[in-house]
Amino acid sequence: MIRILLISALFFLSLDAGELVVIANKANIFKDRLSNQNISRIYLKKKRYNGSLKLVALNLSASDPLRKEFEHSVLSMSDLQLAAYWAKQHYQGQRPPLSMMSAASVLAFVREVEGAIGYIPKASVDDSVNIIYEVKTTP
Amino acid sequence: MIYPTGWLTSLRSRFNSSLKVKLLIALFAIGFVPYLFILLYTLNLGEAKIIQSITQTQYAQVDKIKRDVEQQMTRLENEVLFLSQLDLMDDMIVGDIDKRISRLLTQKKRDMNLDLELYCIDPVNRVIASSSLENLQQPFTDAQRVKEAESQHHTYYFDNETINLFSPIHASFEDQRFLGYLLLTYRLDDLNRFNLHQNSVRSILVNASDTSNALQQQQMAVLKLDGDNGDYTTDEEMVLYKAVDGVLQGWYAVYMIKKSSALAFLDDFIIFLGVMSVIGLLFIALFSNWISNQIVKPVVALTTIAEKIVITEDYSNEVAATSADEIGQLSRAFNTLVRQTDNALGALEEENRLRLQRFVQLIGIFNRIIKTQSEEECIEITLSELEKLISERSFSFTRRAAPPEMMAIAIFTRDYDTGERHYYGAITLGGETSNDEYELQFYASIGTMIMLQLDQIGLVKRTREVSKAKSVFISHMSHELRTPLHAIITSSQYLITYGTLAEEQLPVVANVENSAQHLLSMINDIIDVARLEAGKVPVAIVPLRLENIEAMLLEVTTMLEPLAEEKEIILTYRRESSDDLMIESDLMIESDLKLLKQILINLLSNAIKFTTEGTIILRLDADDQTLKLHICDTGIGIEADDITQVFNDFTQVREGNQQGSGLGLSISRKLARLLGGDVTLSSEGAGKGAEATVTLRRV
Repeated sequence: MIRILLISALFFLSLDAGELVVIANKANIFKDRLSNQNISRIYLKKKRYNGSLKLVALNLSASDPLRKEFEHSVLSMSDLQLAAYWAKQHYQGQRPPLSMMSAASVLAFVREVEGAIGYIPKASVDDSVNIIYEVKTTP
Repeated sequence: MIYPTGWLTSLRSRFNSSLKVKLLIALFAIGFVPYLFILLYTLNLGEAKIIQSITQTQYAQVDKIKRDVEQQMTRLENEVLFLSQLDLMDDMIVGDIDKRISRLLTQKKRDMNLDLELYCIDPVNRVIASSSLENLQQPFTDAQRVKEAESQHHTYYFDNETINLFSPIHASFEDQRFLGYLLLTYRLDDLNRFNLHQNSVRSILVNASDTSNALQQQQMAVLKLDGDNGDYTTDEEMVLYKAVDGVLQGWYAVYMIKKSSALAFLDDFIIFLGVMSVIGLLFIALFSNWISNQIVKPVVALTTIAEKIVITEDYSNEVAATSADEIGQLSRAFNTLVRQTDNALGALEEENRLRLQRFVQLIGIFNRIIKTQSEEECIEITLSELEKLISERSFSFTRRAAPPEMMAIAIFTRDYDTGERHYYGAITLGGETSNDEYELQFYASIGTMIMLQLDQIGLVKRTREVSKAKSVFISHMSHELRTPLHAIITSSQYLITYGTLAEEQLPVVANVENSAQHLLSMINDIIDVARLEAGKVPVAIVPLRLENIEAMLLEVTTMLEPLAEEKEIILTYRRESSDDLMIESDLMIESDLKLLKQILINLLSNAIKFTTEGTIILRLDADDQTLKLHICDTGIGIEADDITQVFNDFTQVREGNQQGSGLGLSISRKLARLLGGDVTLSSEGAGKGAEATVTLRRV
């Protein structure tokens, strides 16, 4: 419970920070600095491999404001558009990114899985992962 | 030779003696044997069907248990597989820090509501997630067993009291990435929910292959399981079993039913059949009894009638022969026989009656023949009677020899002087000559009868002639004797009256005179008897009124009173009281007063003679037919045996002290009979007096 409170505190702090960063496993080396479009392609499962490495995009849970913010700023798609998109993709065997419940678990997952990519508040990032993109939040 | 026992003998004799019993047994056997056969067949078939039905039902039950268990296990397996494949299991990578897996497992456990636990174990054998929080981060000890099971391509292993189902977890995004195992621990006791626990029915699940568990071993020792399924019956229970497939391979669902309840319906069925058999048996018994009665009834009726005829000899009884069968024929034949017997007996009786009639007629003939007085009458009566009796023949009598060509009855008579037989004549028989022995004998006996009668008539005639000659002789003798006696008496009286006899001569002469008088009276009596026998007493019958008779009686008593007084005896006449209805004034008889007087004098003299003291009473009374004169004395009396004798001629019961000829009573009776009356004597015995009664018929 304490842990949940801490996470919640972090979550609100990050909100206050107002900055999201996209992180990746240290083994996941991109040649180029990733653009918004690249990130978007990864999260829409249009780009699934980085070389031979299978990319695993991580979402936060559906109700998370960070996820809303991320989807709004990076994917530039509304909830309805996204839902329609994934419904269409479902029939082609594509599933939406895995969703984790907390930034901590995203961080842990990214740390453990080589192809993993996730977004967390900038304040939560440590050295165990690489920041591959910084989200410019709209005011 | 083996003799049957007593009851068997009696049974056999009863069987042999009674048609009804034979029929009864035969009918009973005919009715009951197929019935019994059907009954037993039904029982056998019914029992088999019922057992089959029960077994099928119970198999369905055990199958249901088996399927329930299998479904349960399959469900658990599927659940494990399903859970292990969830994307959520990717949280294993981050050690389930969000507790999403644990929440899911907890939720799952609650949803399933079973005695189970769910675990997620990471590759380093730590419990990452669990349905119960206290197990988290605990080391997983059975990792080795999971490996063993996996190497045998099993997805489960058994622990002491649990089955453990597991499934490997791989990352959803990368199949090769092994994240650990999902493990489900299920307590086997929980399977008991599918078992039945009722009074008469229970079921258990046993693991035939596991010998480590003591309880299982114990159960296995009792059970006899063989093959995939089967059933058997013990003393108390019916056992059915079925092998369980799937995870619980080597397990059996065993179903046990108490025999009493499983076969309750069979028992009911057997009881029903038993009752039915008893009812049927009873029905068959009654029915065969009724049928045999129906068959035997006419025979019994026949027997009853026959016995009745034997007892009552009434041949008019008949059996009612209604049926056309053999018994009906027998009845009709019996009736015919009885009728014929009746007719024959009737004919015999008729014949007997005729014979008796003939016999009576014959006796009648003999009787009439015997009564004939003369030879001519005898022959005449015989002829007329014979003609009456045998109308088909004519009879005639001839004194001459009968013609030789005719049948004749020759008659001879006996000459009693010479003892020779003389031909008298012959009765000739008209009509045909007969050779019938009996007829000839009959005529011969008629002839004998006639001859006997003729002989008798001859004998009577001869006797009468002799008697008459005797009477005449006595009469003549008496008359001849009387003349000199008169002379003696007259002379004696002369001598006594006028004689010059000396004093001492007088009694001698008186004695002579006395004896002569006595002799005279005796001779007079004899003459009377002779005259009576010869029928020479003149009888002058005149009508007499009561006063005539009384006058005569007074005269007689007056006349005899001096004689009585001499012996100091009181002699009185007494008439019965005049109000006696029997003695009316118009009483009349027809008689000869002179002879009546003589009878009374005789009787009174007798009474005085045989009485020494007391009284003599002359009494008159009458009834509507007779007039009676009683002379009662108190004299010597007479014994009852001697009464008849005293009426014979010359008889006195006591001789010596009484004088008299002994003819008095005899003459009196003969005279009375001549007048159409009679004289009787009665006495209560010697010394008790006597009573003589003269009976006269009234007009």
